[in-house]
Amino acid sequence: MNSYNLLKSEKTWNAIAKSFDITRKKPWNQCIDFINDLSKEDIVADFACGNGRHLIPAAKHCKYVIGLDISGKLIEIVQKKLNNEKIRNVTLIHSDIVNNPTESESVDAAMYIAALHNIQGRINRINSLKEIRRTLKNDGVALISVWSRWQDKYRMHFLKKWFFQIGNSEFGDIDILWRQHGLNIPRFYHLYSKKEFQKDLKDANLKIIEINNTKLISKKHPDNYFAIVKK
Amino acid sequence: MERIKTKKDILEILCCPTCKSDLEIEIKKEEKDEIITGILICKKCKNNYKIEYGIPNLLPKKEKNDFNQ
Repeated sequence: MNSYNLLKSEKTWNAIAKSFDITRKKPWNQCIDFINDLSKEDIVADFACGNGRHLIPAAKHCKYVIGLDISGKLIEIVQKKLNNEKIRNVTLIHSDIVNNPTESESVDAAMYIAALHNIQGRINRINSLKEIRRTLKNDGVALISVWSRWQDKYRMHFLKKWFFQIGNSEFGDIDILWRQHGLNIPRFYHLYSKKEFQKDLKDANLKIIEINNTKLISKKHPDNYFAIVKK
Repeated sequence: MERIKTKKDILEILCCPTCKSDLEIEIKKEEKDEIITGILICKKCKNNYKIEYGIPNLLPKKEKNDFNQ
């Protein structure tokens, strides 16, 4: 578990938390659509809730939401927003998904948005997906998204790496600098191909109901993959 | 889900991040239906996890040690 380096990850996200919050105001439509399809009686878990941009709409629509995040600073940011909006049906938990502290078969729905790709090491990523599966009720549903390796911005980087066989890290691994608000902080990413994403979901024993390519910023090639999965 | 009625009830669906066993709670401060300060104790491995400002910290203890080494 050392390679996953939990606390390094926490320090990174704490350092960029404020800046991240400023630049991540708008929820993604794919997440809003998913939330709107849930029942008002549902208990939802937002694994890696970040600044709460999807947790808050989920809390407004569903019965109860638990929001987990590795960053104490991001949790504080979400807590302030909940207090401001007087939203009471949420519990925030400072934790990480690989060591998920949620009981088995306890939630109706889970969101795991743009976070799987921040976990280093395939075994750890698959374990995190298995943890989502364990937490879901038998008829539960989850929305999982990752960044694409072949999006316009990083396409050349990975084509070169692939062609010249550069580096000894796992193919798809890349440190991406956070450069907003005068910061310059590397964040670990493992960017996915669609095929690899499908394989990891299957290896975690999750049934893919739907998988979509999306272009949130990219012009030419998809930058995100969204999967709706069940047990 | 009937068992989740208040903020306090949500602790029922939490477990130890390390061994996944049930947690016991020691409440130090509560307001309305919410636990503000307290300790969650794993019934099996006896690890302690703090609740501060209403937020349980359930990061595993083992990882912290790994990082410090």
